[in-house]
Amino acid sequence: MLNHHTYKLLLLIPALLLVSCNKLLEISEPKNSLTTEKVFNNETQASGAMVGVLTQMINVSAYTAFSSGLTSQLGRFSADELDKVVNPSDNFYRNAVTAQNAESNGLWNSAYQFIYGCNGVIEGIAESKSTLLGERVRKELTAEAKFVRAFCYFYLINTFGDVPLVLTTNLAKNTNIKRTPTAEVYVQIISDLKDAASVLPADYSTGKGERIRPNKWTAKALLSRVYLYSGDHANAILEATEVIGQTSLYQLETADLNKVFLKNSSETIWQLQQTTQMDLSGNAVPEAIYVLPNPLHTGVSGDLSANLLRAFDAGDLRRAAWIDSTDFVSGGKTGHARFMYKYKTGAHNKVLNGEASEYYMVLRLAEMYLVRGEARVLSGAISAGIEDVNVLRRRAGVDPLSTALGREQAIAAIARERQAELFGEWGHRWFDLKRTGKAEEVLSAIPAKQPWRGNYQLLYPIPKSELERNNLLVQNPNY
Amino acid sequence: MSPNAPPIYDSNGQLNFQEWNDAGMPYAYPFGSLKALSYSKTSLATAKLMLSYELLNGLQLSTSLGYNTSHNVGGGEMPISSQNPLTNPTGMMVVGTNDNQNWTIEPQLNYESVIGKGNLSVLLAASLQGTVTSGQSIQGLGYEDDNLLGSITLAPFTRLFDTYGQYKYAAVSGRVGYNWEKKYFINLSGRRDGSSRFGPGKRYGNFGALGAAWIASEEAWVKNALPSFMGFLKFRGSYGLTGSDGVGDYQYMSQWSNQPNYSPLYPYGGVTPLTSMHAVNPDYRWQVNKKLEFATEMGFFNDKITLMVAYYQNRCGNQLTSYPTPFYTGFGSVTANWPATIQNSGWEFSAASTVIAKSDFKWDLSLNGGTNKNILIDYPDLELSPYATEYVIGKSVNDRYYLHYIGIDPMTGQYAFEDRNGDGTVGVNSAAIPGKGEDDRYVVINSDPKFTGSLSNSFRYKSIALSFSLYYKNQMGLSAFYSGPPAGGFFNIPTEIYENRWQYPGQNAKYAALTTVNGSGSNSLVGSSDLYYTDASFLRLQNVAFSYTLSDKLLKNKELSFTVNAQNLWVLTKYKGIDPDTQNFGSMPTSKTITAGLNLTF
Repeated sequence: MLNHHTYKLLLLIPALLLVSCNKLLEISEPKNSLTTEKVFNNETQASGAMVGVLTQMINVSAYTAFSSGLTSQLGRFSADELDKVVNPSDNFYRNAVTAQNAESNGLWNSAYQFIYGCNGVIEGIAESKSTLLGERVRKELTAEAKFVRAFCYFYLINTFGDVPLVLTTNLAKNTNIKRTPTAEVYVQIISDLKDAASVLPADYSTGKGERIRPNKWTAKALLSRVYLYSGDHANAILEATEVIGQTSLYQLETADLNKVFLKNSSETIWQLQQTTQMDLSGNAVPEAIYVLPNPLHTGVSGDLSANLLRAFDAGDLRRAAWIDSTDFVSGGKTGHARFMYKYKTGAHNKVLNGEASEYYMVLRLAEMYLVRGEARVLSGAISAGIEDVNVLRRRAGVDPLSTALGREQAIAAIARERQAELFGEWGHRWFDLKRTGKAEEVLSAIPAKQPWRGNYQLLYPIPKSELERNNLLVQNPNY
Repeated sequence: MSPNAPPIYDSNGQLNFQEWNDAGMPYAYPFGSLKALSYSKTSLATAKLMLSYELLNGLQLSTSLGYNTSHNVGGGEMPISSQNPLTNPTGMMVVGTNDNQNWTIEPQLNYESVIGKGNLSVLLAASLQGTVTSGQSIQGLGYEDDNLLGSITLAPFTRLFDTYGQYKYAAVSGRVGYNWEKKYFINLSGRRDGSSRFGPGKRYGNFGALGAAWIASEEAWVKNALPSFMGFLKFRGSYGLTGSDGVGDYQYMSQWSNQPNYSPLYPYGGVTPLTSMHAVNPDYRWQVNKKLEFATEMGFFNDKITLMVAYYQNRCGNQLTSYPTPFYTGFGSVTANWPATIQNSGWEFSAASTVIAKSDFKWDLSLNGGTNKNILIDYPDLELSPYATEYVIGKSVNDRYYLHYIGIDPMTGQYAFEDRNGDGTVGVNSAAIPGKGEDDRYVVINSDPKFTGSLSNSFRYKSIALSFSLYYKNQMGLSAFYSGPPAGGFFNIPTEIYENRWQYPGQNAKYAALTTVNGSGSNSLVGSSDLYYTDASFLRLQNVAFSYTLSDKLLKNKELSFTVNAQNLWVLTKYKGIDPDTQNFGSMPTSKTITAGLNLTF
């Protein structure tokens, strides 16, 4: 039989354990990671959270993120900039993309990954009560995050059309939402860009003088493009004029076109800074590893097209400086290909951990002249518009256009000038063909794109897995 | 057959990158790793202590203490000479350590007593466990001379990695068991488990079980009613809840790092970057598994034959899982409790008999088998979930819908499928809920085994022993011939397909016409049709063992024995193909193994 002492003992043991149970499960926080609260406790770490987005935009393999070269690559294929590509059955090149094509998933997934990062910065700062995080840094980082978020959405809607508008990291709020119409996404983009432009510094102090962090003018430059795309010509002219007017910061590289894409060139409004320590690319821009000929690769990814070469007048310095050609041997076949030579450091001359001479150009002054010129022509100021185009033509060493061109001629001249100036960059040609309604006319005439499957191809398909994970999303038509 | 691949080494005995590059196969050269180096060294220490003390008569206190520690040093080198010279390679080395410490403390208090006509046993126990893992490694990169590899300080630049994880688990539990005259049994247990893998407020879970048994054959009135050959009859039943914390550490909290997924984030503009490692869900909690079981056990002819039949039902309504989320939310998955309620239920039986038990000859036989049925009981908001087009409430989560194959069109040589919804085309719409007429899939196939069973026999005659076991599985599986790559690609195909292919209009063939077009025509739909599946049931002679031991008398304290063991000697199946379990034309089937041994002890 049990005596009283034993009963007490029996009861005591679990009681003791229960009392101290909460202590028993205390674990130290992981030493190699920080909580959101700690990240936004001081300025260094909060800046780290913003820079975490920027570094992932560029420091990945070239065709994995929309911002590391994938937009440019798919844009070149989908538009009319390449002929005789290495893989002629490429569905983007043939404008025969199907919902199974995983390449476009990379555009989607990476853009939303960065949007998550930006939302995290905006929320982390708003929730932080730390006095170590000063008012100026709070505002600037929030503005920078808004800029990058707007930048990502700009590429999403121009690639996919309507997209889910995600403005928080809160999973429960985001899981089952519908696609937001493009016009509404533009409203958000414009609002974010205006906020950014009103707060960001007017110099490049955030990047210690390097043009690798967006500033006031970066926001305004993207804003002018957004206004042009959404048909607000007056505001497009206004914003572009402001950027062009910052002559102490921005000048076209007139002496030598080979200097345009150098790091922090006077034409740079924003560049992404690649690391020099990534094994694959060394000090080269990731995309250049694939765009420039590489003895290991099958020459280059394709031959620049006749359509593109026609955009250059005889003697155009851009053609001499930005296009080169190579002989290649691939799978027993030999060929000759012209390739984009805007970046000069590629697989053949990269140096791991060497000093970079080029950064990845995102926004540059030349585009501002083209944006303003187009907006001016479309709002009736044809001669002023042509004058903007002529700034670039003079630099390229070709005859200026007559300011007495008719409206249609002026529009065509601007399209051609954009083709020549911005070729190969950031899907400009692909977006231009789409937004100006010329895509079907131009692309359906290209032999490789026969038969023309229809204009539904102008929007890429939403990744299949997204439709499965959120049934409220509807696929783009005909996919 | 030419062309031949260039040799592995060149005339100087160096890796032959040059000739492979010249042959236009720079990426195909697979021998670079011959020059690479990797090593790993682990030291382990384990300590365990058991203490037991009888405090009072029937009351015992015991504690087990355990401590494990392991330390690993590993690394590797990738010299320039192991890499293709066309890539301007530099050398790389890595060295790192990993440490793991684990401790447990498990005190127990046991009490046994007789109360009335029954035995009482009471157990109180607690368990505490802790684990700390940590690791650091350092990569040296950019070496321009292979001779410097091995010295991290001579590396042109370095990269550091670290890992850290801590886990604690604590539980108290109690169990009370009482049996009355070895006739009525009752067991009651309860426990409170705590785990550091859950967020604050979610760390503890309460679980418990109730079990009861009745040995009816101990009851005089039952004994009289039972036929005389039935000596034992028992009924038992139980219901219990158990918990599971099988998720990663720290998933409930936000974690920012500069090396997510063990790949570094590179500094940008001189600033050290940070990024979120995973989606955050602070709300997931202990997974609860509910188990219900009823069973009866019988013994006949003095337990010469025993029989057990059981019905079980396992249910889980909040399985801890990596739940898929749309990538536009920032991450493709989140740690969460899955809202699906899934039930697995079925019957199990086993029978055993000592058929003959003579001093010289013994024959034992046992038979067991089981069935399982999976069913989705409930799924709130299924239509909004990632499984909307896959699951149907009331059906198995492993049910899949397929097109129905109706034969080869004798005119075109293409596989033909039923246009179930009569819309004029045959197709699969992966975004549609199958079986509802939105597309043509309607045949339900479930590859879960419907029934498994095995029969074992063992015979012994004097010093000769022979045993064998048979295993039966009733299931649907991939068809060996229709699930392989379609003819025309750069693959081998079975002669069965080649010889029975469609060749001319009007032919009634078993396989479609050959084609060189990838995914062409009806070939692309085969995988979405019932043609892809077939009955893959089989009966397998799983094991045969024979042994012979020489008698003691002959050898005087020495022992000599001879054994032969064979696995997978024979299969009976209607399945066409190499093996009904492998279900693949191209891969190796389960091997047939025969081993023989001679054992001498002296």
